[in-house]
Amino acid sequence: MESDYFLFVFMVSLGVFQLAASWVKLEGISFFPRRYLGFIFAAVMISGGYGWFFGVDRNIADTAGGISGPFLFGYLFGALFLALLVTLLFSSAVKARWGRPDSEGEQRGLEVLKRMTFFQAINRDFRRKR
Amino acid sequence: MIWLDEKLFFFINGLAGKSETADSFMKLVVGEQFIPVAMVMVLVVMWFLGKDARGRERNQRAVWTALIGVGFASAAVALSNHFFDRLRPFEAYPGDVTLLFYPPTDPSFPSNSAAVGFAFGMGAWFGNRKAALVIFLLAILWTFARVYCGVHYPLDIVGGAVIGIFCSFLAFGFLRLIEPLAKWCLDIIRLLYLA
Repeated sequence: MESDYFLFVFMVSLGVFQLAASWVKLEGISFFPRRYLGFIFAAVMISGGYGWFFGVDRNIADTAGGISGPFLFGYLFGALFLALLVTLLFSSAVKARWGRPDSEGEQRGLEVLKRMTFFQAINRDFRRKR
Repeated sequence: MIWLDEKLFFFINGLAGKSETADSFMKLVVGEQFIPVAMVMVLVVMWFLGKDARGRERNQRAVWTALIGVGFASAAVALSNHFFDRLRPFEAYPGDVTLLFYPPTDPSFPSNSAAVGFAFGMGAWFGNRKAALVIFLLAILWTFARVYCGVHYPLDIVGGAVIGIFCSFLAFGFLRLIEPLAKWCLDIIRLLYLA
């Protein structure tokens, strides 16, 4: 049950991060070269995750093998964090040659990820500090 | 009041068992996974939204408010369980209630689900009203399912909702109180390009 729940949240979170990336045009964390592909991926992951997890009855008391409240939140945020990490790593890998590090201006925070990947942004910071 | 509460409960719970489709749907949404995960995902999307940097920061502060509000609400419900010991409907009226969920063992009043759901919604309200409305609708569906499935009276839901909304206001005030720390946390996340 715990691993199923973790995987369910992970799948849905991956989809939601791609949904947000496509919606807000954060190309640096998108897995795809086109926005509509991000929306399709999000729809597949979210509906697939929900469909798979709730394909069987999940209303089980924590005393009978279910998950108790605090653990539900723990697994939820653990899976969410892992999905964020995978999003940053995978998007940086598939778009390693993409980006416009020379045109970054003085933008900060999430805005930077509209122009470059997470790794490129980190790399830029290291170069600036050296 | 209790009489009216129980009458309303039996009206809503009386709908259970009449339609297999409605029962299946309510059994799907009544648990602690389906709707809470959807609520958190709405907050995740909200984190990234905003017309400009200021709008986005307002949304992100609202996400913090919602999460802290849920923490406060859960603590408040746990504390109130020491003072209120209302029996669950299926315990008070065994044989008269259609139970479509596993029998919880904690007190019926106040509803923890309502407290959590409405704390999420009220927290989101401080940043993005459209997102908050989505969360409130999810909270209403979730708490209606709790009554439909026979685990809560309507008054438990009202009590939980009041606690949830109050706790999110409290969280809003708390974040203002610790403003330098809240700003510092957001700045750190912004340095990592995540805010």
